[in-house]
Parts: sequence; C-alpha cells; structure tokens
Amino acid sequence: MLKPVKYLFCVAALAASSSYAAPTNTSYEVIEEPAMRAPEATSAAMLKLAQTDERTFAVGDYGIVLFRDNQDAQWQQAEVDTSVLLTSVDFADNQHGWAVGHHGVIIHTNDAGETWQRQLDGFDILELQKVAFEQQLQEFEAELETADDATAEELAFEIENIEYELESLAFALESEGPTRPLLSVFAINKDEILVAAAYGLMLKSSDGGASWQVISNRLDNERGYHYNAFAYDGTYTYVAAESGTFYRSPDRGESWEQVDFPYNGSLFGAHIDNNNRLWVYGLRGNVFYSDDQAESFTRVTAGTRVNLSGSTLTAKGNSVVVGHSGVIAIFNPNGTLIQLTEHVSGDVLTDVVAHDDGSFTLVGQGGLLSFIAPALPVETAPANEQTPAPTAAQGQE
Amino acid sequence: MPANFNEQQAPLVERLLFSSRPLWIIAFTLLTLFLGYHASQVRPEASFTKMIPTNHEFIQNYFKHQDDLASLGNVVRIAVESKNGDIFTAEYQKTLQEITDEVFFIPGVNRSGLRSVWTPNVRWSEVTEEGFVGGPVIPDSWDASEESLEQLRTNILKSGEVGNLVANNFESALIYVPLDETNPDTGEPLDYQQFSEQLERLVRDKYQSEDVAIHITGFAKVIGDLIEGAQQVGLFFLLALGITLVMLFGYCRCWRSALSVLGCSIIAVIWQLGIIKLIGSGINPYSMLVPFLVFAIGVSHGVQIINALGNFRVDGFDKTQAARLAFRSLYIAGFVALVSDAIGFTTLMVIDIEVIQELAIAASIGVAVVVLTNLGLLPILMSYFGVSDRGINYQTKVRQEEHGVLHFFARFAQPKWAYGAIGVALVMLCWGLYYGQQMKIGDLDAGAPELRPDSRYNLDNKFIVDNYSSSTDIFVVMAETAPEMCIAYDNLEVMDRFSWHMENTPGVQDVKSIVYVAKMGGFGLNEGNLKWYSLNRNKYVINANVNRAPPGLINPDCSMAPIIIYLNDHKAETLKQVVASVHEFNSQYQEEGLELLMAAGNSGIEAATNAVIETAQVKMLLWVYGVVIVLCFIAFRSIRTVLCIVLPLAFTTVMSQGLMAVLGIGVKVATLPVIALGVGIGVDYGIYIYTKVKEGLQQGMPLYETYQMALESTGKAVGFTGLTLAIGVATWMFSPIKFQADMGILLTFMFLWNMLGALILIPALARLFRVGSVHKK
Repeated sequence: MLKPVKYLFCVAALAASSSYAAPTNTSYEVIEEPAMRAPEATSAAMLKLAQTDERTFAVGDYGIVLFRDNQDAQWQQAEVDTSVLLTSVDFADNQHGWAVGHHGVIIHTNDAGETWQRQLDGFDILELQKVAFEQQLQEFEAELETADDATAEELAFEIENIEYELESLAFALESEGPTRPLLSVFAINKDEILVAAAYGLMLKSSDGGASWQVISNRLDNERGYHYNAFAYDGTYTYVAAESGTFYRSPDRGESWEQVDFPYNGSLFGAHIDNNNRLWVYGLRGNVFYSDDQAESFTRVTAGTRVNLSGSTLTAKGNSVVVGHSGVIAIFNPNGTLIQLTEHVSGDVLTDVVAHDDGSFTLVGQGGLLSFIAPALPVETAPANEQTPAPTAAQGQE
Repeated sequence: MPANFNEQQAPLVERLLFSSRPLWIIAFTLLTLFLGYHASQVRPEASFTKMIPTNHEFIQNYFKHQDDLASLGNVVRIAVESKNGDIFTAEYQKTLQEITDEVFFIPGVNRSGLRSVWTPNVRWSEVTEEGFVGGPVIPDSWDASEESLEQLRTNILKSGEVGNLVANNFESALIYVPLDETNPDTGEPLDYQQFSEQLERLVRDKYQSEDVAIHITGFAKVIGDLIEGAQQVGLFFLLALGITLVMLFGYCRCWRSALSVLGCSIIAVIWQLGIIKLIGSGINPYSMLVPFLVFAIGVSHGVQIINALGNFRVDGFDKTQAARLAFRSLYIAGFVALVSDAIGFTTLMVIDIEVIQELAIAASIGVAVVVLTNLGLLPILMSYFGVSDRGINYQTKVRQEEHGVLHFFARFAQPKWAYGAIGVALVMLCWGLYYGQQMKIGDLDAGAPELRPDSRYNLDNKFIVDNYSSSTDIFVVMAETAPEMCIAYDNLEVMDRFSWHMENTPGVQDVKSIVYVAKMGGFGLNEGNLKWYSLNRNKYVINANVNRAPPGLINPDCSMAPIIIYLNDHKAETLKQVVASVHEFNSQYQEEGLELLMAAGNSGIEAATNAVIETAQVKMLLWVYGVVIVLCFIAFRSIRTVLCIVLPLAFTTVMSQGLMAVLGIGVKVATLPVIALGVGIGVDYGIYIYTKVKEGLQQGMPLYETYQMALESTGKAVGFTGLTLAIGVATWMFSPIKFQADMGILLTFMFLWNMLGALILIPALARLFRVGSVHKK
C-alpha cells in the first residue's frame, strides 16, 4: 500500500521541480546585477543630470551613475548595486541622493554619490501596491455594506477595478515581474522623497527611503497616465505628465489637484526660474510658462518642432531647454527665445546643467556631451567634443 | 669518340623508355591532348567555404545558422558621390534615381530589400500628439524644384538615415543592395563574377562622370575583383615563360634544348591542370601558384638533363647515347629530389583549410607529373633533336674556363671564409629571430585584405568607411535559444548585458542586435521619450517594440538572434581580444536556454582562421622539418650531414619570418604554405650538393677540392635552379591580389636565400663540423 503512494509522491515532486526549473534557473536578474565598471561608461545612453554644491551627477543605462567634482574635468563611475536603466536622480543635500529607474528600482547614496544601494525594487512595489489595493478593497467593501444604491453601484464598479488590478498584480508577482518604470525622483529633503512612475504610480517615503508608501490614489488619474517630471517652487510641488495632464500639491505630496493645461500633448519636464516662474515643456517643441503657480499658462515660441525633454537655469537666470536632434533652446527670463542651436552630435538630448564657467553638460542617447554656448548674438553653435572618459572611482581595483 | 656506351649497364627503365621512343611520343601526345582539353575547362574559382577552416568550432556554428545569417552579410553598397557640392541638386537626384532603377533590375538583387533615398521603403517619421506620422523620404509632390529639394533635405534629417543612406557630409548617398545567394526563380547560386561585371558595366561605366563618382563595396565585389585579378595571372605566366626562355638560352646557348625544356615544362603544367580538373578539384587564387611552381621545377630538372646531355655530347657521344646517359646519370637523383618535394608539399595537408589542402594536392600532382615529362619525355625528345653545335661549342668553352663565380663560392670551404660566413649568418639569425618575434598572425591592412591597400576596391571601401557610420569589420555572435524564445525577456536582458560587455572591449566600435531594436522600440513607441529606452518584462510590449525590426536580426523560428559587433579593424590582436572577451562573458554568465556562440561575419571567420593558422604554423613546421630530417638521415646516415643540410634551411625560415615582420606580411592562409614550399624545394639544393661532396670525401679528397668539384657538377645547376624558381614566382609580386603578391615576395626570397644558403653555408658548416675528417677515417 505504501509503495505506490511514495512513488506517486516522487513523480509529483519531479513534475513540480521541472515546472519550476525555468524561472528559478534564470541566473541573470538585472535588478540585482551590480553595474559593470565600464571604460565606455560616458558613452552609454544617459538620461538625467543633477548638481550639488560640490558635484555634478549623471545617470543612465546599465546602472551607470557618473559624478564629477566641480573643479575637476574627470568623470568617475560610482559603485551601484543594480544594472537597470536609471531615469532620474536628485539630491536632498551634498550627501544624500536618490536615483530611480526601470524595474521599479530606487537606489540611494549617503556618501555624496560614491556608492549607491538599492532601497526598493519592482517586486517590492508590486507587494506595496497589493497591500494598498487590498486595504482599499476592504474599505470599499465596508462602505458598500452601509451605502445607498447610487453609491453602491459606484463602489461595485471601483471594487471590480481593484479586483482586476489585484489579478494583474498577482500575475506580475507570480511570473511576469515588474513592468512599470519609475520616471522621476524628487528629494524634498533627506527624509521626504517623492517618486513618479509610469501608468499613474506615485510613491513617497517620509523616512529617507526606509519605508515607502504607494500614494497613487491621491491623484486623479483614471486613465493611468505616466508621471514624467517634478518641479518645486517652495510652496507647490508640480508634476508634468502624459497627454497634457498637470498636477500640483500644496503639501509636498500629501494631497494633489489636477490643473487645466492648454495643450493635450505629453509634458516631459518642468523647472522654476529665479523669478519663481514655472516652465513646462514637452512634445514637438511646446514650451509654456506660468507666473501664477499653474493657474494659467502662456505659450512660448520655441522655434523648434522636436521633443523637448530636459532643462536648466544659467547663472544669468536664462532657461535652457534641450531635446531631440541636438536642439538647445535658450530663453531669457522674459520668456523670449534668445538662442536656438543644435549640438553637432545631433543626438537625442535628455537633460542639461549649466556650470559657473558658462559651459554646459548635456546628456542623451550618445552619453555625456559638453557644450559651450557661443557668445550672443551668434546664430549657430561651434564645434565641441565628447567629454573624456572617466577614471575609476577611488577604492576601485 | 669514346665509345664506352654500355647497353648492358642500361637500367630497365632506360631500356623501356628508349626501346620504343615513337610509341612513347604518341602516348605523351595523346595524353597531352586529352589532359589539355580538360585543362582548358579549368576556371579560376573563389569558393568562400574553401578559404576557411570548416572544422573549426566557430565555422561549424556559423554553418549551422548560415541560411539565417545570409540576409545580414551579403550586401553591396554603392556610394554615389557628388563631386561638386552636396546631393541636393536636381541633376544629382536624377542620377541617383536612375542608378537605383538600374540596380533594381540586375539579377541577384533582393529587390524588396533594396534601399536608397529613391526606394519607397525609406521613410521619415516623427511623433505628434496623435502618434507617429511619416512618409517616403522623396516627397509625393517631387518635381525637382528648389522646394522639393528643401523638403527632401528635411525628410532625410527626420528619417535618421544620415550616416546610413546619406553621407555625414551630405556629399554622397548610398544604395544598399542586399543579394540573394540563390536565384529564387531558378534555384541557381549567384554568379559573383557576372554580378560584379554587371555592376561595373551598368553602374560605374555608365554613370561615372566629371560630376559623379561611383564607389562600390561588398563581398560580391571583392570576389568579383579577385576573380578578375586572378585572370591577370595568365599574363604573369607568359612573362615568366619569356624570362625563363631567355635564361635557358643564356645557360645552354642552344634553342633546341631551351625550347625542349620549356615545352616539357609547359606540358607538365597542362597535365597538372588537366588532372586537377579530372579529379574534381579546382584552381583557386591560392593554388594558382602551383602551375608556376610546377613550371619552375620542371625547368630546373630539365636544366639538369640538358646540362648532363651537353656534357656527354662534348665527351663525344652521339645524340641518342648522350640522351640515354643523361637519363641514366640523373634519373635516381631527380626522382629522389622530386619525391622529397612531393612529401614536403603533402605536409601541408595537416592544415585544416581546403584551399591549402587543394594547393598541397595540386603541387604534389604537379611534381609527380614533372617526373614523367622532364625526366621521361625530355630525354626522348632530345634524343631526336640533339644539342646544336653552337650549344656544344659553348659548353666546351665553359668547361675550359676558370669560373669566377664558382671560385668565389668554393672559398667557403676554407676555414677563414667558413667561420666568417657562419659568423655573419649568426648575426643575421639574431636579426631574423628578433624581428620574427614581431611577426603577426592574420591580415594587417584595412579594407579587403585580399586586395592591395591602394586597389580601387579598398579606396572605395575607405570612402564609404570615412563618410558613413559603418565599419566593414564585423564579428557576429549568434545568440541561440529554444524556438520562439529569441526575444524572451530573460534572453534579451542577458544579450543586452553582453552587448554592453562587448562595447567596453577594446577594438569594438559598436554593437547592434535585436536588443537594440527592442530598446529603440520602447523609445519610439513612447512618444520618443528616451526614458523608455529599455527592455520590458511584458512579452506583448517586447513584441510591439521589435515589430519594426529589419530583416535578419532574428531567424524565422526565433531560435537565433545575431549580435553584430562592429570592430575598428581586423588585426589579429583585436580579434583575439574580442574572442577572449566573449569567452570571459560566457564563463561569467550562464543563462539557461541561451547560448552565445561565436562566430560569423568576416571578422568572426577571420578569428577562426587565425586560430587555426596559429596552431598550424607550429604543426606544419614540425612536420616539414621532421620529414626533411628523416629523408636526409635515410639518404646520408649521418647526423652531422643532416645538420649541414637542415641548418641553412632553418636559417632561411627564420630570415623569412623576420622579413614578413618587416614587410608587414602576416601569417595567413596565403603565406603559411609558402614556408613549407620553401623548405620542401630548398632541401633539394642541399641534397644535390651534398651528394657530390660525399662522393668526393669518400674518395679521400680534402674538403676544398671536393667542394670545388661539387660546384662544377651540381652547384652550377643549383644556382641556375634557384634563379629560375625565383623568377617563376617573382612575377607574382605584380599581382593585383595582395596575397598573391605576398606569396610571390616570400617565395622569391626563400628560393634565392635557400640557394645562397646551400652554396655558402653547406661547405662552411661541413668545415665547422669537420665532416671531411670523419669520412677520411
């Protein structure tokens, strides 16, 4: 009697082990793979720049974080414990910074950017989302018991939505894994960090990233538009998003309201200039500014039809916006285009920072680039070169 | 008349040969006609698979996926350059349109894959609020006006074709012409020669003008140019023929003898070609050297015959007797020498590359044929023709004179000169060893290494490399998966890591594969937002992202995706580094269900060839020297003698390696066999000279006198042989094909150097090793 049972058990175990073989034997996980020390790091696709008082940072493909001391021309590659495409970086102060990227990865540094460690990844986020949805589901179900017919119908619809979300979360957790990239990070201070992501996901930490909260339900975004970028004017926190959606929060992400935006194309970035003017830009050369904290917007003539994806302020307070085809557009504080040039590389540019000596660092698909704006009123840009390769960071090899 | 001609002493072969001379002549004539017919059917061919080490792991992997990789590699690029100004003129665009149409109709062109500014599959696109918009680069309203030219310029900028179909400086445009390996209608393989000729006639000849320059590159063009260049080799053969005839006449002053030797040697070549055709083997640009060798070897042995024959005539024998005595005195030596040549050549069979093996077979057959024609037919013919009186008189005169050159070489048997020569040789040996260290494996020049760096093809290639963003040195790694898994997320992610690993390998310019397309798809399908330039775990997203993948980046059942690595050059070190880097990655990351296999692409195949050549080089040298040492030991039974004969050969080998390093000639398919050929033929000299030296020493003569005697009998012929062999191959230096020129330079050097080495170092070494004193006992 015992023998066949034991035999059956063995077969079952075998079957189980073979059906699990495929996912568990997959050795390579991009989330957990430390970034390769790469001689060509400066030529990998780079997406975002950040500056502290002491350093300039760039993040991009293959988990690459590059940094450079302000007095130093040499870029160095930081030690990073992930290899995902990093999409955004921000520092709360000289020491504390965060970078986010694909596969839901959030990394953090507390040594001025020399080493970075994962604080959260997409699998964690799936769990967080699951908890958040389950919580909401419970709340709705409790409400449903006391609700009148009209609300009940609405609640039933919401519950159905949440159940669908939970189902797809279960699928993602079980087999697919995280598919939604994080697109922007904003370190308000060294405790409060906001992270914006694709498909209407928003995260916040209030303890320096030790724990994270899904705050998506604080924003009205039924269609799940992507949140592309943050801006902060000391009072309001702004989020530029897909298809001309725009949000602001008066209390650093606790509550949000959607504001009307005069354009329905996607918005890729925003910044605040020295006069507290809010600049927003996006698809096809569309640039706007607002002097009343996003109550109303004025269209700016940018003279280009390319996608604009990054911006910065110069020492003189001019706004520089960069985009596809190497386009660099410089506006004076009045909102007038004063210079439109193309970087010789013709690269897809994604971000720019200005340095005290009047030069710019640019990033894009071809990696790090440098640029010196010609003295006005010259029409076209002079030649410029690729920045030199980084040397290894201290303590390496 | 010293009538001591002894019929009874005549060996069986001699009696067989001379008893029925007319019969033999008829037989030789018939055979020559028969083989000549077949020889005339021989066409030069350049089969790609024969030039590569087909059993190497890389090549086996490549063969496994050859069909899937076909669309990737076999492409011709035609750059149409505007010589004055940029491409945005009505006349230029008209020319470009006409050439595109012309190319479209050339048989062998894959019409759906044909791309130029003027084909409808080249489109511009941009992202708008509503999504993608786009259209063909040539505006629908094209009327060659300024406005449409301006529209064209804008569209080209938006198409992302700058650097691909349009030069970075806008002064030329490309027509990208993928080829079908087999004709889809007839199933016949592409005739490269014909295709290449049509390109020349219908494109270059027709459209090249003061305003427009045409530049054509691609494998099909290389092969076409190779075959075309190979046909010029016929001219070199005529040249070698002419020079040899003059030298022969200078040597014997008898037209009958000279023409007989020449004729028999040509018959040997005809036979060799005919036999090659009959056994189903062909002649390729490498084995084209063989007829030259066979001819030269034929001449050198023929010279021995007429030299001996003349001597017997001077001694007073009639022409038939002289012919028979010449045969009798030489047939064993000649036979042994030719057999040792043949064995020397067959050692090349250890190299696992078919063209080299074909060359070995062809050379062995050729040498065997020389035994019949120049040791058999030649004496028979000469028994009819006889040496002219002028020739006999000249030979009589030469005999009586003290020969200055011979006297000079004889001195090296004297101690002072012997040690001096050895000292000089040692110094040169150090030079050879020093530079030999720097000898490189593989091809060292840019472009198509088969052709000369300044050939039209390589200039065209340089134009395209300089003006477009594409390298022509391509190393392909094949990512092999289970069917339908080639774009599975897990596999793509490892391939992405691999691409990045390779991009950080020195010598790598760029890496492209389906991974790049998938990442670009993410970027393109998300409103051109570069933040989406990444792989997604969702399979539907991946499918959508790779939807617009160009053909060839995944195979039809999605079990293989080529990862194309563009290199700075194809130097052996670069290739080695790339191969090592791939191995390093493979040992670090082992993904279940994914194998990253080397290698395809011209550089991948060259990496395999280099690897085979590098190991074969040592193996071949061991074999060829092993064979030579054994043969010499059997012949002379003395280690000292073997040293005397082999050391000059080794000296030549070292010196030629030094020469290769200095001249920038790499060890490759073409030059590797040359070393074996040089040693194989070089050992003849030593055998001839030493045989006579041995005879003298056994009679108790001192070394100096012995050597003088050896020089007078065989030494003179050795000198002449060295020169004829050298001239036979020296004409190759003018070949438009680089590797043929390299072969020519090296062989000429080796033949001359071996000759000098034999004439100078053999007596010197004999003195050093006190060979004479041994024999005296």
